[in-house]
Amino acid sequence: MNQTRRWLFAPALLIALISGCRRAPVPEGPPPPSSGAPTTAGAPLRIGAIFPLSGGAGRIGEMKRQGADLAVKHLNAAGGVQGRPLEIVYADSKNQATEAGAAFAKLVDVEGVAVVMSAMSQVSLALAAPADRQQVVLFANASHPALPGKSPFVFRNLPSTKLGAPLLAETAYRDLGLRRVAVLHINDEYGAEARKLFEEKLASLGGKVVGSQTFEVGATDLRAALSSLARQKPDGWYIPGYGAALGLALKQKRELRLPGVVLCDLGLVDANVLKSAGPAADKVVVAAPDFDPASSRENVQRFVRDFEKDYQETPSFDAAFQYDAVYLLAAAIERAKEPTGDAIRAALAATSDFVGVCGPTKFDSQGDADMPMVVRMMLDGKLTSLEALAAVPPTTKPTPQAGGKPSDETGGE
Amino acid sequence: MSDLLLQGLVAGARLALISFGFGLVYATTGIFHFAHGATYALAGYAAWLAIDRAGLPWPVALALAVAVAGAAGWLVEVGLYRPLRARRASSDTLFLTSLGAYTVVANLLALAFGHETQPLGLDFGSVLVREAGPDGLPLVLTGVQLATVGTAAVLFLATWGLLTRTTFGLRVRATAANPNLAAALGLDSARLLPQVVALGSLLGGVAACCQAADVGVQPQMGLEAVVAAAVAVVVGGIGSLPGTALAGLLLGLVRHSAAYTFGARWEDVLTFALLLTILLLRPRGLFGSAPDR
Repeated sequence: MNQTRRWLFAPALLIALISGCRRAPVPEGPPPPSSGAPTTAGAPLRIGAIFPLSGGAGRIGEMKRQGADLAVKHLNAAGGVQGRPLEIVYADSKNQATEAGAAFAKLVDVEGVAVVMSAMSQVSLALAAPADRQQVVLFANASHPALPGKSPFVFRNLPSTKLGAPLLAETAYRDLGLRRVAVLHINDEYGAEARKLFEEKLASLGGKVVGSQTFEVGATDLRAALSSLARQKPDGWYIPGYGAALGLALKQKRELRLPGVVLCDLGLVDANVLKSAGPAADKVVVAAPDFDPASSRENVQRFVRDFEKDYQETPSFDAAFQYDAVYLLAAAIERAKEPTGDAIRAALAATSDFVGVCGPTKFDSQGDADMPMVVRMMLDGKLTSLEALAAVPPTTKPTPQAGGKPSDETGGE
Repeated sequence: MSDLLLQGLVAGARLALISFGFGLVYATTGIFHFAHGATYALAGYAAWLAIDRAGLPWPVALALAVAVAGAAGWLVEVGLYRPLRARRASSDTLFLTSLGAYTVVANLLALAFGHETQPLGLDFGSVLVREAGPDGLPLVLTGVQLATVGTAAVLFLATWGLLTRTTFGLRVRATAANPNLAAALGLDSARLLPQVVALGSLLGGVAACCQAADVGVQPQMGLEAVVAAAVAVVVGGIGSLPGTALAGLLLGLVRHSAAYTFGARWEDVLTFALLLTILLLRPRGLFGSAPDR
């Protein structure tokens, strides 16, 4: 037994020596979290993460994990947090609230973490109460509007659905001239809320949601739902969702030759979704924050370059936001006088001057990210300006007066 | 309405093919062959790997994938069912083994290739059948859908011919009707059963290729397939292969109509409501004969 232990110890020591001796690169970009030496020492500083790492939403969890891991790598290379290496303890929520609750208890009670990152609306909504009770910071990167109000311990830097969905409704009505929109949304808390907010805004402007249907995370055949909605003769479609099912919805809409421009949320900006959708993703209108992988900003370039090196794909929004989330947390832990949930919460709330890869980020009084959203259009797998949409078909930038006749060809396929 | 019927039947063609393969194995071996889902998923992933990773042309890749399914089916019989049968395992044990085989394969696929759906990126175009149907919607069938219907029809007829017009078919039917009597009359089930499971898996493999080409592959794809097949076998009547195939078509029609009329959330509700209703009214299924085995 001792022999075995020695065998294991030797390479571990070697690795520790090598990695400890390597000169850490000078950090660029997100605020330098450490003022001290570029090497880390002492016991790792642990934070928890409860992501869906398996099941239908597994892809979302994987992308967030990639972003978080890269942030840890960059942070630790730059000296860690309070001179200690940062470490993330992951747990799989399977996108189920009960699994997540058990994982949360284990992370807090056994691992002793004071910060937990989470993903997905229904899971994060369920974790808000225990986080509040146990004074643990819950950095919940899910988009449900009700999330930040649940507890002073809840924060996020992912934009709320209340920013994206109404903005898309406004774009649909004013810029694209859509009056009758069909909604096909993913069947979860986020999808239902996105539909509601979109419908309210569109109705307030004078437009109408003419029908709505849901699809499951693992759905593969959406033809019936699409055809059923198409009976209502929509002139546009809002499809909030994520994962391969979103890609298939777009692909099958195109195959069925159903007309009308499509509006989507951030879920579309994912290499896997775009691959599933194929050419059907072109000309889809997306409301997204101002993260641009092609940006010339130094921190973005470094993030994108290292991300592509590690994972052989362009980072998605999920990865980018989680990268920033870890940096925001690291900076707050650095500033907090003691590593308790309450001290970190106070430090996080006081965040200012943070410029991450997703741009400047600060929190409002409820811990919600305050960030500008831009409406853009997908073309050849990249987000481009919306003007290109009007330039494609030989029509329409319809007049914004209410009751203006909608054009069937607006951004049509 | 006729468009709805057509789309539903197209959706049912793949289910019919899966169910036919499953029903064949179930009727002959008496095993509730859950591992059908494993061979199904393996075929899907083989197609994806051959096209996406190895860059093979799609006809070669799909042929390879079907062969993988057949080989996997043969292996399930020879490596799992036969040794257990030799030890006089109960049908419950055989079922659990089959379920275990499915679970192991689905999880290994997830471990190896992740949980996300992997699209094949094939595009065979589409055919505009009609500019505007009764609902004012265009009726369009994709190349993959047409190929699925055509392949399912050809394979059903070929397999039916094989079962009714050859000595192999006679042996299969004899074993299915009464395995003990068939054995007493000198039929070598040790040789026959691997062939039957391989054949059933080949049929499933073709269906898996159709699904892969249409919507891509993911580790749990076998579960949906095998559950649909099980429902079709029960609805169609255990032992009746044409009944099973017809029930597969019916199932596709019901699922599509349910989603079209009431929304996707109703697909499973109505599918299983149909199953329960048929079981209550006709416990032996629509085309099942009196039990004599």
